[in-house]
Amino acid sequence: MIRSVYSLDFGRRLAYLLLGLPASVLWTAVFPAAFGLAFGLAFVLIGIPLFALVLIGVRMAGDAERWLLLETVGERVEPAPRAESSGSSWRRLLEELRDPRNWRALAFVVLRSLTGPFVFAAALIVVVYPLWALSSAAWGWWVFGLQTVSIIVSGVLALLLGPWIAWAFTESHLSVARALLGPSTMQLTERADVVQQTRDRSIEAAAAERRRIERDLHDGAQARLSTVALDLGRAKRRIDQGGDPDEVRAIIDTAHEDAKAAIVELRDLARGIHPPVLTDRGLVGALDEIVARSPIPVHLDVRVDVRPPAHVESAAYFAVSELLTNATRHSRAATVWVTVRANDRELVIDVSDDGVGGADPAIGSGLRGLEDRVAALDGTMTVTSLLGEGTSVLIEVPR
Amino acid sequence: MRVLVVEDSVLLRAGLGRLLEDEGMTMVAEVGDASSFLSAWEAHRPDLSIVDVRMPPTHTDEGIRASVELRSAHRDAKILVLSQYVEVSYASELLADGSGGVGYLLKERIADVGEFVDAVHRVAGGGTALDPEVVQALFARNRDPIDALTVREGEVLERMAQGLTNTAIAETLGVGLGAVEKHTSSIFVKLGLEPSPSDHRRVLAVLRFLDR
Repeated sequence: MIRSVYSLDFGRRLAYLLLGLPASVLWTAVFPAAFGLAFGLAFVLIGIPLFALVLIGVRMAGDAERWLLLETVGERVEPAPRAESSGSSWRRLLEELRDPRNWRALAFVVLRSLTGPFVFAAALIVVVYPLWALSSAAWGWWVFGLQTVSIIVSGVLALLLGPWIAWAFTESHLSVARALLGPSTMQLTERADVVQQTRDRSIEAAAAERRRIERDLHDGAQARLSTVALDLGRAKRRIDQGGDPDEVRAIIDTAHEDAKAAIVELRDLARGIHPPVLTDRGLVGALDEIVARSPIPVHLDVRVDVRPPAHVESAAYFAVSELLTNATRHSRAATVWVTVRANDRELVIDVSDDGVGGADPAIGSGLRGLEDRVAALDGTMTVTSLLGEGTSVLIEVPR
Repeated sequence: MRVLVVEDSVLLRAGLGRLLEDEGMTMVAEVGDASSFLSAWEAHRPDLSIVDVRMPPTHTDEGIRASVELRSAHRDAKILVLSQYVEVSYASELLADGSGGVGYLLKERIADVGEFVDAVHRVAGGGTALDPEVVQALFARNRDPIDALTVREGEVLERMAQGLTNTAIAETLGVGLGAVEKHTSSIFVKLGLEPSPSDHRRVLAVLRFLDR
């Protein structure tokens, strides 16, 4: 802590505190007048939407304050997540009046307007007083007396204390900003609930997946290899008993075919667990391969500016794979369009077809499972599928 | 010999069918789940049923439960159970009624066709066939096998548990038949098993052993 207090931080924290005055002046100049106007017009209906607009302005001021903290002190205050809203733009505007984010931002802006000048003054004293004290002592060094000594001592003390004062002031600002501009406790609790639910669902999905793989192995390759061993055992016994070479050959042929089939089954199963091409050549190569196997013609458009982390890449691959399988099975589409965009902020997947539509995540477990896996990555999935108008699935996953 | 095959994998069912046919046996029916096993048994009264442990619907121990149920109704039903894994408790459940005609083998033993066919005949003839791994697991569980037994008697009992005849035991141990007979009667005496006309003593000896 001592190091951070005495490092360059001092200057940055000081800058933040000094900027308290202009911020205070700006907010005081804008918002009381704006709110006054809105109140004044409240009796004409226009006042109410105006009030909502001013509140949006307050929220933007809050965003500016968060930005300022990031740029000067270097501390990130997570924005409060917005509440779900729907309906017309008028309706949404009026919902701004009830949005707790806005009122909490207002509290911060009021607080900042009131404290800004004092904080500015404190910062100024922290810088100016030691300079004044030490320089005046230097100029009057020949007047050696109690007064000079006390000035020097107070100057040195101020020099030592300054960074601590700046630190304490900015930290208190930061915690107030986190409390008022960040997610509220209720939102954090809700978020934790959602995370818990998606975590439970993805654990359940992973367990189901393991059971499926075990069953596939048991019914497929394992059974096939058992018959291979059985038939080879029969062949050996035939030979020991001096049996007909043609019969033995026929038995070995069967075993040979089964062994090859087991290899194919194991390869398919392994590809279902993790396709090697995905690691080697990324989404572009891996999706090319799925599309090549699709019975429906697919227009593939993939642009990966920044390669996503491996788990996101894998989720994207299986999402496209599953959506294409769905399209093949249910949509009766003539064409499917797959668009994938990946940049340093997010991964967006759009899979659309011109088929019969009518897909509903509430009915099929497939889409629901996909939604869970997307949610586990903090992503969202939107399904648009009106009867007769094709199906479009949009998946957005942040990095 | 008429054999009923109860196994949910079609592939393995067909393979078993080929094997049995090679050996001059007939597969009277093949079914894939526990309830059709019981009705198929009633319908065909086979000389032997070969039963997979894991079957639909739950894929756990349907085969064992159906076998125990069948044996409680028909003591003379001969059953050879095939399992993917060694599960000692399954073996004891099967043997619990004290009469022979049951076997418990790992599925992969089918590939050693000669031994498998021997086991099939043994169980159909009223003997037992326990997988060597099951027997070993039992010996591992009971660190000091039946205190009074000598080391050699322990080895004989282990092979008896697998279902081997005295001749076969003599062969595997590299000793004479007479020596094995001496050991077996000594084992019966030490386990307190009197000679009886039905003479299921070999099975009973294994049971004593399992019960400890």
